[in-house]
Amino acid sequence: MSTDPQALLGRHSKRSRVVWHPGSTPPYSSLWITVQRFLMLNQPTRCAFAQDFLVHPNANASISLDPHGPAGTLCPVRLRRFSRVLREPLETFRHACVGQFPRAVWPFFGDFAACPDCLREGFHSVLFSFDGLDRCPVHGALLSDRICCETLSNAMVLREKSTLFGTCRCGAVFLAFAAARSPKANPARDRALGEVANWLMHAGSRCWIGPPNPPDATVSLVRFTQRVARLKIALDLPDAIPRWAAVSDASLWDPSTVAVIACGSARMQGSDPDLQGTGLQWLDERHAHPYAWQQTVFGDFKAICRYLRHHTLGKGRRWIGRFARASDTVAIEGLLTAGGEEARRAWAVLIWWQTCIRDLRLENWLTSRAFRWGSVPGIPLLVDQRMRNKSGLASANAVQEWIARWVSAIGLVAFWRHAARQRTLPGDDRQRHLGRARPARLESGHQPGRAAGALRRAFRVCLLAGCCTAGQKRAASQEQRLRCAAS
Amino acid sequence: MRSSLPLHLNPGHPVLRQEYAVFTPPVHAMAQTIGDWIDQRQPGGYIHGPSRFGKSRGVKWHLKSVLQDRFAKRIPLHIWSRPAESHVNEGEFWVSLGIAAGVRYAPTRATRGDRRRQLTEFLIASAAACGSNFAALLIDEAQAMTFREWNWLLGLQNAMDWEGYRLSVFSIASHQMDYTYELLGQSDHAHVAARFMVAHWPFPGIGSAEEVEFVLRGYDEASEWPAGSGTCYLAHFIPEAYARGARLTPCAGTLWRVLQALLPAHYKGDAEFPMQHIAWAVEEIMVCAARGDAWEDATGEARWIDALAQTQFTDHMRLISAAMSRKKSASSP
Repeated sequence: MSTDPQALLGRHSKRSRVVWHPGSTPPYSSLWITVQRFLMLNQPTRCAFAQDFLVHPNANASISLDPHGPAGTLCPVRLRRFSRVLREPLETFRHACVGQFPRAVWPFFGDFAACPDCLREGFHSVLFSFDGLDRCPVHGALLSDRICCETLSNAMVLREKSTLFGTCRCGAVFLAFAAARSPKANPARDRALGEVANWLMHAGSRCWIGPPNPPDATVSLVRFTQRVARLKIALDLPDAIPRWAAVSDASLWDPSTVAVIACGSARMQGSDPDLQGTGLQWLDERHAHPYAWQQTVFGDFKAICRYLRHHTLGKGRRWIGRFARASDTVAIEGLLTAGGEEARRAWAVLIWWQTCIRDLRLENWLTSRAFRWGSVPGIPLLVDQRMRNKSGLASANAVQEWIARWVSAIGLVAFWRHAARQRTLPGDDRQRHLGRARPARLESGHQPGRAAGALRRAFRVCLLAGCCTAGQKRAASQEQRLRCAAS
Repeated sequence: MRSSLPLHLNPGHPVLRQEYAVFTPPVHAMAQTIGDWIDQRQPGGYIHGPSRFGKSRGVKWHLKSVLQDRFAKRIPLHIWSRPAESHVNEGEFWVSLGIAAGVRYAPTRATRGDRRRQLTEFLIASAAACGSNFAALLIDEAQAMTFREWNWLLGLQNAMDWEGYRLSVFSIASHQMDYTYELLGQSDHAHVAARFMVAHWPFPGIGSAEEVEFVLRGYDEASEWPAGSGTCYLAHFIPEAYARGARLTPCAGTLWRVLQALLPAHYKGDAEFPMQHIAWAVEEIMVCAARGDAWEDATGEARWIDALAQTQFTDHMRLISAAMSRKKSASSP
């Protein structure tokens, strides 16, 4: 017994086909709506669907795609198999669930939300759960989990449910079979959601960009957006301010008012689909130890800092203290003029230090934003499973840490290069932007075991601009005399 | 299963496994008829003919490719061989149809409405995959279809029509189908008969020496195994004799005479012969030749008579003759 056309339908196995219309999945469709459409058209039982497509087919728990559910952001559906059976390219499911976005932006995804008009057209996107979107970018409808009389969730509706999906208990149809068959295409919606998706993927894929404190559930999206915009401007990246963002004071991040610092950036994981789905447990487990990276990058930071002080500045490092004690822009300009090349180089080191600590929030970032490793086809992982051992995967992690250190170091050094190029531009708003910091441990030798605490203290000092100690006051008056002499 | 085959014969050869069908003029005519019905978007049509004439084999092996050649694209044609047992309920009916069509979740637990919806969506998807709004369902062994089953199919056709897709239901049956049409027409199911059985076509047997020659040429030239090898069926059985020029085609006249001679006395039907008996006879001749019999001896008239006699050819034609006489008496006023 055979069926025609075998090759054109969704193909499950040699002799059986599923009902699907290949190519009917709009861009940015969520996995939830795709699964619901599949369930409507094929009417499988929960057991049959679980056996075919779920990662854990024997799990008794309800099948939920909720990123904040007990299963976390791990996708319960075997996407590769699902896409093969549907004859859809795997790329179709690139933005299908929260787990496919960079980890840095996961806190900004809320509960399930849908646009009733889009749902009627057979479309839903996980981007509707993004905190930055309150209304549907096309229909303007308020995004909510309540459709008609029912409250929808991320759980997949299977046949054990008493009512058929797509029909409200009041009888109203909010997803018809015709829409499930072929959702209505909407280029305007694709453009709008594409902008949001690209911004999210891009924001999270830069290792220097991340929310200051991801474990905190109350992290502000506005602050994050501003931070991303600021760093994007610094990195000369396009679309710094997304159109959807409610950033009230965008001029704050105008390129003319901030220090433009080219930062070496490295795509570690996220937007590049090739970097996802390593399947290596030991790589994923690396997330659980963010503090492991803190010491590593701090060590690099300190090493570069030490090199700059001893080899780049040399005797000129005394200017750092003088800059730190300068009370206003005029004083700094006077010092730069009087000090010549040595002073300008010290000023560059100060810019670099200040940017790393304050603008990039190095200490916060290092404790909260761990590297995530992925594999790229064609590039060997340097280690393989045979090198694993029961005593902590030492050899594998050593390689990864080595790479991480180099990535960090390259970024920090790239920062320094640009700061050194910009040191000849006194008098601009950069001075106001940077404020006056007192790099306590830059002036004297640091103590390796207490570096984090020292930096944190130094950071606190630079925030307390008006609070000066008696020693500082003495130093300031000395600087004032020196400036008068220079003028 | 045949005993003591020569070593050069591959037991997996389709002729030895009887998993093949030589293209015949009646199969070509059937494909053309169905193609015409598809062109006309007929809601239904039925093809009837005596058993063993090669209807099912033609559908299985050649119909789709002929239609594809004619329309220059894939035709969403789903073939269902109706099982002998009747379906107790509508759910079983849809499951049987779904399994035949290859629906992945056809056997799963569902209500009859869901199953009908499932099959409807499958047919719609197959039609859309071919870039049209038309799908065809071909029912083999349709003589066993019940009134209720015809009504369920009518509902399926209506459901697809509501969605904007057309479903044609073609049925192939033995000669009993002739009476089903009249029975449906005279009972309360005239609408079913009008929908599915108005268009009809009698499937003929092999009816002339030329057609026999066409069939034998299939073994000589128009066949190939393994695929792409360029070796026809006869060449596989007798490679050396084939290289010397031995062919089955010149035996067409002999075979035709033998077929006519073996007809039962007082045979009332037309001189049309079942393809299956001809195929069995040809297979026997080929195997005998492969075992070492001289080609001229193996294809002599006596050997053809023996080969056909082993297939109970005369008894089968006697049954057809009896059915013909019943049909004529039923149709006479």
